[in-house]
Amino acid sequence: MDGDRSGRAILQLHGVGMRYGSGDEVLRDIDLTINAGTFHYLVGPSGAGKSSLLRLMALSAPPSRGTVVLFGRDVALVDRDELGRLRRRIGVVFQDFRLLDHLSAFDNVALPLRIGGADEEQISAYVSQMLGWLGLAERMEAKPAQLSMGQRQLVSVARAVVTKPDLLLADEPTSNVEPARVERLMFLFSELHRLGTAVVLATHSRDLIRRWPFPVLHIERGRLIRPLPTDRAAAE
Amino acid sequence: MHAAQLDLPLDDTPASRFLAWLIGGLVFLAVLACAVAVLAQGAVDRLAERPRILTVALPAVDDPAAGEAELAQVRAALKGLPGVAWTALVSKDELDKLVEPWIGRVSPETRAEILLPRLVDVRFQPGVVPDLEEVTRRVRAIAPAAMVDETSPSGGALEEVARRLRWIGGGAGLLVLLVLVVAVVVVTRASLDLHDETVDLLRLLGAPDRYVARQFELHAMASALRGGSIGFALALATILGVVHLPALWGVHLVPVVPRPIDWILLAIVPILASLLIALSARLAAVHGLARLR
Repeated sequence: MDGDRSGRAILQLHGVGMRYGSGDEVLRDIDLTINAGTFHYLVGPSGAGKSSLLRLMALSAPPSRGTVVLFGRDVALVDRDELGRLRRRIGVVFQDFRLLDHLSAFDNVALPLRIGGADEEQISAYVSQMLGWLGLAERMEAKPAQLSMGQRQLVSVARAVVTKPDLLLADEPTSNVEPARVERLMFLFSELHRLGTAVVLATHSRDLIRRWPFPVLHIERGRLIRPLPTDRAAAE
Repeated sequence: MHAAQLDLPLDDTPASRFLAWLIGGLVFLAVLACAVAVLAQGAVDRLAERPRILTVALPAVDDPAAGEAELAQVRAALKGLPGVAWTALVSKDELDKLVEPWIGRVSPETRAEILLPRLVDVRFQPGVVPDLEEVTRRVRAIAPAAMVDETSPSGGALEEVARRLRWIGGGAGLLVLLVLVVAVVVVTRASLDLHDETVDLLRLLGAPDRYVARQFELHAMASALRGGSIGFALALATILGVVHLPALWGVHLVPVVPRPIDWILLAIVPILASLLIALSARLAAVHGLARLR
């Protein structure tokens, strides 16, 4: 399955399979190219392999077969430092947020910037701006346990996008967010996409696909089915 | 990396919290052990400072006048040596006492019959180490049959004890530092296992191993500064107590007091311990992270 734009390919999966431990393959024969500046929804029934595919793309889990080429580098061949550099170009919104409980919302969002070596002045400006824009200006010093589920999700999104990554992988990023803020989140993702970030967004929401139409990757039983037209994907 | 808050919750585990106390206790022991070593070194140095004495033996001569002239020449030559404080002719009475164990009490009658050598004591300034060969060479230029021997009073058992304590104290200090390194490595590895999910997240966000290892290093360094300061302060109080407090009642438990250089050497112990701790934590983390891949 090829990327649907003529842009540079930033992620290529060739004949990829994936399994957890010695279990059955949860992903099978995945061929996929994601080009720079594209936006895809990733849809499919629960347990179809959406989260596993996102984990694979985020270099969180290795393939059991096939090759993964990210930003032109075969990830099986890169050393640890290079792997870190590749990961710093990816933003990930985890389904379970994966925020650090002992850090404030501010410090959670600042984490990728600090890892990237940004100075504290820059970090303060970016993080404050990002959290303010997401309506969390008053909650910057709150720990995750003091935040609602929706607010935690927003912090998780802020952490993923604060570095303006080349590739954004989001697993159900709007599932816990109140409807009024979904609009704002989708605007944020669209803006990133417009600025050149490739976005892959896993969702169950038909409404989302209908209101913000982008190409859809459909996964079922660990296999990618060719892209569905947006209207059909929304209907399904 | 922001200083106030580590990305890894390393203070949230009992082992990590215990680390500062453990470091404090071990630094306390290391400083005490090193105090024994430096005080023992001080004692050895003080004993080495005692004035050295050589005794020159000039064979007896038949002609008293020639003997006096030779003696005067020899004493003049000895006084010309660098570092000589004074020379003294051993008196006849002292000479009699020296030979008494071999020939019995010397009476005025027997003294005329026995030709005893003339002895000259040469005392050097404190700290000066005499060159025995050079002294012998100079003396024999005047009296070819003269003998020169060192007769400095020995440091005796005290010097031997001081020398041994120096090594025992130093060895114990090193051993404690080694235990400290092992403890830090064990705690770091345990923390790494405990926080593997957070470490995994940091890596997913692109953190290189050196960034993660730096977290452990900073935490260990902070624990070392906290625990090490307390351990050092307690050790200093103990040393001052043992050295100076009994002196108020006229009792001298320790025959030497620390010199300024000794305090400096003792202050290096917690600094060295902190550096070792930070380095051990970093290396243990780097090694552990390589294993986690």
